[in-house]
Amino acid sequence: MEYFSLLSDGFLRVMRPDLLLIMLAAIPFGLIFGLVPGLSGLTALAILLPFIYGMQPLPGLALLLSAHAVIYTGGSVSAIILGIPGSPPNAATVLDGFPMARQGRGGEAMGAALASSGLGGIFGVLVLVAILPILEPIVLLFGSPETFFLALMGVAFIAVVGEGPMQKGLIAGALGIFLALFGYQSVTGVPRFWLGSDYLLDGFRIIPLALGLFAIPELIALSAKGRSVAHDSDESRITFAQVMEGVRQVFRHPLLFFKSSAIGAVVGVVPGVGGETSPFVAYAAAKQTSKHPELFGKGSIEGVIAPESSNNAKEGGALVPTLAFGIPGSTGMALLLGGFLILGLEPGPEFLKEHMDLGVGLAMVVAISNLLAAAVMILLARYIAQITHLKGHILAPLLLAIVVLGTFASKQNPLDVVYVFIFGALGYALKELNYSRAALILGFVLTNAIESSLHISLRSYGWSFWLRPVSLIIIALLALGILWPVIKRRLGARKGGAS
Amino acid sequence: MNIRTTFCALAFGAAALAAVPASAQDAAAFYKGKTLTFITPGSPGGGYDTYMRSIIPDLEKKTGVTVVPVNDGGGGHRLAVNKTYAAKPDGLTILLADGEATLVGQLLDVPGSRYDLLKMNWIARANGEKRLFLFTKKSPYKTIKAAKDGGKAFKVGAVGKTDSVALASTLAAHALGLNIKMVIGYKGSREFVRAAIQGEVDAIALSESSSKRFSKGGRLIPQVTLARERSELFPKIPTAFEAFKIDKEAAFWLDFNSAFADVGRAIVTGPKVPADRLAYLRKVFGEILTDKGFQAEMAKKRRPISYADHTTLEKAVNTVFGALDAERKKQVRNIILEKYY
Repeated sequence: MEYFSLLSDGFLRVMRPDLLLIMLAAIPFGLIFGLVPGLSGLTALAILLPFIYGMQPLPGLALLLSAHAVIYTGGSVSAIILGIPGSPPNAATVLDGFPMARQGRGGEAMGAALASSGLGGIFGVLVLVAILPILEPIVLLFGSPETFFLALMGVAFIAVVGEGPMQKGLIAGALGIFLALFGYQSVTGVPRFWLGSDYLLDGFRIIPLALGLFAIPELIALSAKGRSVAHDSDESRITFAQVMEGVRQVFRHPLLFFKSSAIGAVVGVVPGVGGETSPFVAYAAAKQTSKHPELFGKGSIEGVIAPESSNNAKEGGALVPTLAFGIPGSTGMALLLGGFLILGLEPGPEFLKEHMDLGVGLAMVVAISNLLAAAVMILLARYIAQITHLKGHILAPLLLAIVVLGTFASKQNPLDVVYVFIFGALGYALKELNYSRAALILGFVLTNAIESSLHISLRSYGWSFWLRPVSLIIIALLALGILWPVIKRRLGARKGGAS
Repeated sequence: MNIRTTFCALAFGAAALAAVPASAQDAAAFYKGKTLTFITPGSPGGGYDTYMRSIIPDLEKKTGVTVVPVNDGGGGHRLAVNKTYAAKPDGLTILLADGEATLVGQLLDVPGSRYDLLKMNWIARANGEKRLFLFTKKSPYKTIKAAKDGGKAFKVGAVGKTDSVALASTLAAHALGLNIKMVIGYKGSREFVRAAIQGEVDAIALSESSSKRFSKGGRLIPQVTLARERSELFPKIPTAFEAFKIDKEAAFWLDFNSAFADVGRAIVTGPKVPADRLAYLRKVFGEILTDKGFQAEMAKKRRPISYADHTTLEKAVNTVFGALDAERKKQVRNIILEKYY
């Protein structure tokens, strides 16, 4: 009962006009940073961080969290209508969202993406609130061996996530792994393949890579054809009814939504796997279990719902270790932790004992922000989508300018812009030759987690590291995921035989 | 106030103004209205970043510069040093350095370390803390003395071979004769603290303020302070010199380790910066970092200030580089890079 009264106290603490105003101010900020390719949630938080000096804890943290929670909601829109991920985790949404936009179903895709983003965010919060009193033991279940197997699960999906044939997906994934090996390696303290260049000492960065692979090929296509993204006919005009149809699609796929959100929440709880991983894993898992896997990559609504549900759910999960130990579950949460310290708060078990109401309040902030952001974007979707009717020769230079500026803004390094074009050439070649760019990104983001967590697991636990209970569960899920198509085929054959 | 008093006051004022060296006035005039790049290897929101961003408002107020903060944590914190070292020597690029990693980079010729700390100009230290060895609840040993006497190696967590935590752990283990096994690969300090709480590693070496934060509720148990004096935050925890019988050789390694920690989070600029600008920067940072109000504000953020001037920093840097002949350097390489891996 005490717990439920804490929940209601937390809810009432958030329902204050000043807090709602702060959230309303932060949400458009987060959405715009999500929408503009290259500008990430981290940049948004870094800009907002100095504003919280002198603020009370809940309003200060609400300002940061509201903006951060809705970044991917904004990013999904660019991914769908332009084929350019607003932030790297939205790259998985491009795979089916953009083909839907080209088929004139952009409204439906946006409705589905926004609703699954918003609801996924709320799902992540529910997970957080449900385990709030037992955060510490939950987090303790996930060590380096579990991180390793979760990352391995991501690698196993490389072949599935691809747009093209499986072998080509594996080759692209291997290329991603190779690119991730560049730069300083903390385990040995020695840089690899850095060719004496300071830029390569730091390794390749995800923003130039993701934008180069996904944005540049689309911009080339737009310029070359000169046509708009969507067909310029009356039928393809996005209406509110289309957007609402997309929203309804989420409710028609409840299992897919819950499965994808759960993947997001778990990846969020386990630091080290990498936030970019969850939407790809959710996408691949959706493809594995779908009744129509052949539609994936060609405009499947399931291919939009899965990554977007997991994207926002992940942030609720990432709050778990941040609050439980003061150890961030994602890069964004590391910045948020800085915010806690600026406000004189120290997250950790003692913090939760003393400020459980604040913990609940923060969870509510995330939930309300997700809901508000989704609602705002659903209302604005048809207007934003007008951009898909702009002629290619007008839209392409505009977008190129945004891509270049966004990339530069992320680290203020002009070489990042050069690499956008280098990766752009690579992306164009991959697209033309039907190699999966998503598989390349997945290989890239998982390599560091696999390398480090395997090294730590072997040093700490020896070769029996895989015998931990949660590791065994993940291994079982991994085996099930790999074998599922075979099982499905056998079951189908048996059914066919029986009839 | 009569006319004579006013005249005297004006005369004293004019005399005081004339007493300020012309070069200092020039330097102050130089900085007014300029843009200064303040680099740190820490990521936004982290410890280094909080120090940097907390200093910036006072720095802008006192000097009239516009400060552009830059977070560049690449290359094991060495890219930020490279950038500062290569910057135009006009005193408009400064760095809040990770002293320990920066020193190790040069000392061990780590690839990518393109700087010479003996040529760089030290300005002031914002924070330099002693380190403590802490055991986890699941550690096979309850005390550090039992660990020294026990045969089984205990696992110590860190980020990489050349980071400050690994450095303190390996040098202390060598000095005290501890049988440790380094487990590295964690993304940052927060990750290996989590691993320690989970029991994935048995011990870690943390700064005083981090030790205070993470030992709350008995999650981590402080064992020994790796310095000659006890920590003010842990007055009951003995120093390594008190807890063990320390011979001359062991004392050398413990002091060598302390010299790294003495540099701590220090502000430094590149070589060949004009002397007047350097003196001006040292004066301004001295005023900011010794201001009681600023110190109280930083203490509230759990980021204590332990100011040291450039002479202390130069002495510490010289200790690190000057104390080693070729044989010792070989030994250092072995201890830091090989012995416990």
